[in-house]
Amino acid sequence: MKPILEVKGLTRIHGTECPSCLDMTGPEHDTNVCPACGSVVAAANVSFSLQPGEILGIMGESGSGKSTVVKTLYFDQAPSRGSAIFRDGDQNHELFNLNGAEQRWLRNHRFGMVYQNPNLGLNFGISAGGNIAERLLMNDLNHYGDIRRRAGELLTRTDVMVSRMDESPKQFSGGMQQRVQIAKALATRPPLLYLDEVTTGLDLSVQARILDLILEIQHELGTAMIVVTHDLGVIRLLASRTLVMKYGRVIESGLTDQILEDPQQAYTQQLVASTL
Amino acid sequence: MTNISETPILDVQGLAKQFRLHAQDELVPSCSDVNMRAFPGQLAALTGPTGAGKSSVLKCIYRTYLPSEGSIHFRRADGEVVDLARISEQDMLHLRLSELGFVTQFLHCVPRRPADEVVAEPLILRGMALADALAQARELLRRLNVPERLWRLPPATFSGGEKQRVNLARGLIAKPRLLLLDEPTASLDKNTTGQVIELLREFKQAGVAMVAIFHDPELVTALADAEYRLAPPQSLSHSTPAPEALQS
Amino acid sequence: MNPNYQLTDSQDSYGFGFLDEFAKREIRRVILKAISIPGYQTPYASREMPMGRGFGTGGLQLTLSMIGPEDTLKVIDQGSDDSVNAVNLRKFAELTCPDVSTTESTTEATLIQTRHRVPEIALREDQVLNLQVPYPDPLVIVEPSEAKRKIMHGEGDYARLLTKLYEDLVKFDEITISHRYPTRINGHYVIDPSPIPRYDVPKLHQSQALLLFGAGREKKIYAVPPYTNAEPLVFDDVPFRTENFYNADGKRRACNRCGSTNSFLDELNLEDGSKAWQCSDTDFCNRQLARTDAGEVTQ
Repeated sequence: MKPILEVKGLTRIHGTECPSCLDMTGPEHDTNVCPACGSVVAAANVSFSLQPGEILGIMGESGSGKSTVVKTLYFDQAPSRGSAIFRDGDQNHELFNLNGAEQRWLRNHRFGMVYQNPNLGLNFGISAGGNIAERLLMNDLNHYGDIRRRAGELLTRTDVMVSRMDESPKQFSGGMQQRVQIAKALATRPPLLYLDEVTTGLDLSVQARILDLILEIQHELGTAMIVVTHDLGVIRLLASRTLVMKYGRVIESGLTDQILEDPQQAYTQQLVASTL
Repeated sequence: MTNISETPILDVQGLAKQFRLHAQDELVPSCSDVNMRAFPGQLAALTGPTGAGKSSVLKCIYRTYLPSEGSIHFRRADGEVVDLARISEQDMLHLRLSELGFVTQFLHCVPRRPADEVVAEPLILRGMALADALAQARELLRRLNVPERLWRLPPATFSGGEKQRVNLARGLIAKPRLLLLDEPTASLDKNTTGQVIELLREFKQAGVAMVAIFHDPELVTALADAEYRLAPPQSLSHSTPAPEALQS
Repeated sequence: MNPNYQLTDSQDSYGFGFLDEFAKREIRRVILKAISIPGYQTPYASREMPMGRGFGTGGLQLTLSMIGPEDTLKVIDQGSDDSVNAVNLRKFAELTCPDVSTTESTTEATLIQTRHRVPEIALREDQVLNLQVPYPDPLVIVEPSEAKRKIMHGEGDYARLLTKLYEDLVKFDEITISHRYPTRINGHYVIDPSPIPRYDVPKLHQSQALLLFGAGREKKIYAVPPYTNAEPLVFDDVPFRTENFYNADGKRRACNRCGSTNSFLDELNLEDGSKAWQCSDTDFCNRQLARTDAGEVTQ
């Protein structure tokens, strides 16, 4: 089976990049700020592949560059360098060579994103159902009755009471907001879903239900996912493989149980040890 | 027909595993110079004192640990021999799904799922319809004396013995070609242990190769076709149970 | 002030049509571009006019850049030739465009400048309608950034506008937009058709006359060329509705002046506290009245 996503050498540098940016930053220099020019190396030479239906974990502390990776893949940010090939059926898209319209098309039709902050993923000015309707309308579903029905189904699937679909998600609890985000992301049945710290800041029991939901969705729809988190529990539960990032670099990658039980790098050992 | 016993399904040569603990700046050996084979329809028992690295060998085979030295040749269903110490992560994931099984001492499963679904999961992941997978799971739970009233409950609340039976059922249900068993009967009563022995015999008859660690020497006598006695790795000190502490 | 400076009283100091010829040329070129890309909001350098922005300077610049001595101009405001805005604009045109004749007759006019209405009488190929536009961009209610709006227009991405209609249906069981109804032109760009009532939106579709829209403050000109599709934004299962003027008994109200039952009606509060309905298009109303007086049957 060919990977659905192949990322090579993804690099994102904020600032006026100089030749020593990559040489003078990273875990061995204990910084991601280039001492020569002050640029911030958010991600450097990140490479990985993702199989259809697979969940890949990206683990690291804040500032490690893990969110940068999904944000560039979702076109929220442009990378400084690198390539990413998205295989959709028999079509290969070189993500960073597409023009803006093509990128937005993929984003609206083939990718889903769930942000840590529901404010980024949802429009609080409109109803929960309206948020889902917007994505369906982008996909040229133009029948009011069908939109209502499909939005209702999606909210039911994500355990949001249909009776509340006409309320603004502003009035919802944090867990419910995340479930509306997931419903919205799934509206177009995307083959690829990005989850950026989706359970961070939620109560444990609420976290658990959202993680269960994500796993069920993966089983049901075979959606490939990239899960970005600093939470080892989330990684353990969801991801079959894991990348560990620090200062913009992937410092270790492997099968998730191996990363957790036999971490190779000092930093990963420290991470694993500190959660127990 | 040639004697199938002549071609091993698993051939471990010179396997060694050390943990480099960066914080303590220490190299902790876990097992060294392990040589063993497993044949279809046979059970190879790993024995030896505590600290000889028996569990480490199983985990290296399963890639939960990265082997430090040596090779782990595995003959796949398609006849090709691959080195489990070196194949890609994707290939390893695929083998785990289709050919390898691992029953550990403790049940690691998705919480909040009813026991029958936990057991059925390997079949579902292979693409079997939910109803069929659940039917097989329940059949196996019955054989392992898991009371029917527990089947729809999450195993988190079960007793140690009940959990262990769910764990066994989950490891056995997919009938892997190579089954790794790490003290699968540790917390079982005599009656259920008997059931497990019977089940494993059936597996042997069906041609499943097994590598097992038993806490009970009687089980080794009852089931093993070969015994590999491991010695503690020669080294600095083996007082450090560090790898286990990392995993919990 | 320079005491030697004298205000000129020579007519020749101003060119025909107030605008200088360079301004006229620019606006004409922009009009051509707008016609070539139906519904596209074409930017232009809106000039300062001797009246405040918001008083129809966009429509007026269209009119002044197109008008010639052989033209007959009609100016209406909410259907009326006699309201202050219409009268002032007409006077300004009379002052700055010598030899141009003005009219109140829809059929005699070659050029009609209008605010908030499209005349009831169907326009012909040899007529041009200039609409005064306060807010040219229908997307402004869902996207504050003009840069992003331009991209959305370019990609024909009106999902968020439709979401607004969805929200209306959820809250009120119907789309509550009464005027400025977003309308898709020639299958791509969605325009704000200026504050015309819904009643007038179907008149944009396959219109024989050229329809031009001028926004002076926002510096945009756009067009619905003759014989071009203009479709109000709707859902497949929620048809577009226009004002129907039914009374409580479900009967179509008639104009209490001319008796017409097929025109857009204004609601009037009479002195005795009761309400009355009257044609908003005075020229149309007068014609109906004349026909009734002449003994012709009203429709």
